Amino acid sequence: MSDLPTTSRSHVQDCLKTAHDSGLTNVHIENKHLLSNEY
Amino acid sequence: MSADELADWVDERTACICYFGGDPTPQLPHAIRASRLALEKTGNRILRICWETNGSMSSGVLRQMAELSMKSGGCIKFDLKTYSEELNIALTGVTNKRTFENFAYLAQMRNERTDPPFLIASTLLVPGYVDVEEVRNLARFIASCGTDIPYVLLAFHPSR
Repeated sequence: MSDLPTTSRSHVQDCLKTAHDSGLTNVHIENKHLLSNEY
Repeated sequence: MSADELADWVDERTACICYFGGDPTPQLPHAIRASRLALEKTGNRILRICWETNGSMSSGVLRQMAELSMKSGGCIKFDLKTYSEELNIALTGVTNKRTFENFAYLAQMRNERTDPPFLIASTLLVPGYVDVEEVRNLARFIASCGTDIPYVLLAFHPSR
């Protein structure tokens, strides 16, 4: 999967909000230093 | 290295054994034996047995892992890669049905010990594959098992 970009900040923020909206109360982001603005 | 030899590496400074990266499932009989030996060696001192896994093991082995972590104060970090079975097969070559069954089994144990958490879910956000819809379905599944279960979203990097 070396042809894929690094996960973007907007991707993870959208997923974080979605996880909260789905009812979870304890959601975290790890590996923040890897996040990109590639898409 | 035998299980006995691995357990012998535990000394007075060792507070945790964490089995991770690659998945410990293919070596679980060895890891379980080493963990039991290490716990026997440490007696009443804290030695947490922790795992990071894709959760694809048989239910009998899972019960042994869970018992070790629960009794020792350790945790199981459980990788939920995808909700879609088709996508899981595309990415890993296998179904995720057992993964969900195993996660649900662990979730019903978690209230036996809440601090530190016994069960943690995680998902790697692979661009183009694991999108918001996948996370929504995974989060709903986790929430159906317990809304307080910790959920970790991981950034993907193509070289790691």
